[in-house]
Amino acid sequence: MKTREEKKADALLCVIEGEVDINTSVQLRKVFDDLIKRNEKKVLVEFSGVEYIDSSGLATLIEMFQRLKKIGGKLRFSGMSQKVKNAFEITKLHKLFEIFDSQEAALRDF
Amino acid sequence: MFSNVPQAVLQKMEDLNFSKEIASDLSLVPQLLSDTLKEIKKFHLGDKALHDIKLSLQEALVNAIKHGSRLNRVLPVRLDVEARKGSLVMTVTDQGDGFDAARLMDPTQPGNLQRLSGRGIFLIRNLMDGVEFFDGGRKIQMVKAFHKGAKGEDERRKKG
Repeated sequence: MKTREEKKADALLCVIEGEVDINTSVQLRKVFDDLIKRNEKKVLVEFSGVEYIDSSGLATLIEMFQRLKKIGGKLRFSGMSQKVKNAFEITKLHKLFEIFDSQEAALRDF
Repeated sequence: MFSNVPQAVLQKMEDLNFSKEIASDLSLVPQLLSDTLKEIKKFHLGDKALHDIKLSLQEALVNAIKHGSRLNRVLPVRLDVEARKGSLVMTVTDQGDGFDAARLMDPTQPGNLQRLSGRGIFLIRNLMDGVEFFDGGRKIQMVKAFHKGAKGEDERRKKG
């Protein structure tokens, strides 16, 4: 799994590529820790490069959602493939998270 | 009956039968998954089915190592894969204390939606066509069928 960040106006775009699973979610949690430390309050996670997510990956996203909410921040997702979105739909997490088709639509919503 | 898999491939599938064992170490899971999927990919089952199989195997193996073996490397976790009459039967066995699958919470209930655990078996039950537990929860058997009417994305979407 690889991540990169890009500033988009007052939001922070975090692009994830590869697989988000029990082994790589440790690395993702560190990236999120850093964003919280830097007081980033509008975080958009781009998923178009994510091929796969397991329950540990989902838990890492829930944790980030909770941490951002606590500091008055917002978490948005964009670009999910249907295979990845399926894991959110099965677990009904698509009702918890704000998921958008494109980065533009997600950024407009902040 | 087995519409989405050619007959010749189904016949070949009957030859698929292997077992693998690993130490209870989460870092060994990716290699085991990769080796197992390499065998299964030979049967051209399609991206969606392979994705469902990979995610279910991953969840079952992680559960066995984390909750069954409690990360005790000395305890082995075993994976058996076998093709039976157009279905793939995958069994993961651990040497832990077992658990009662009937007592698992429903992670989709509003009060559970933000819980950080408890989605692995729920995902498996939704991605596979059959899931059974044996030996007090130490053994999970997952069945993926490759025929018309097998559980698919569209079917689940209709259920909402």
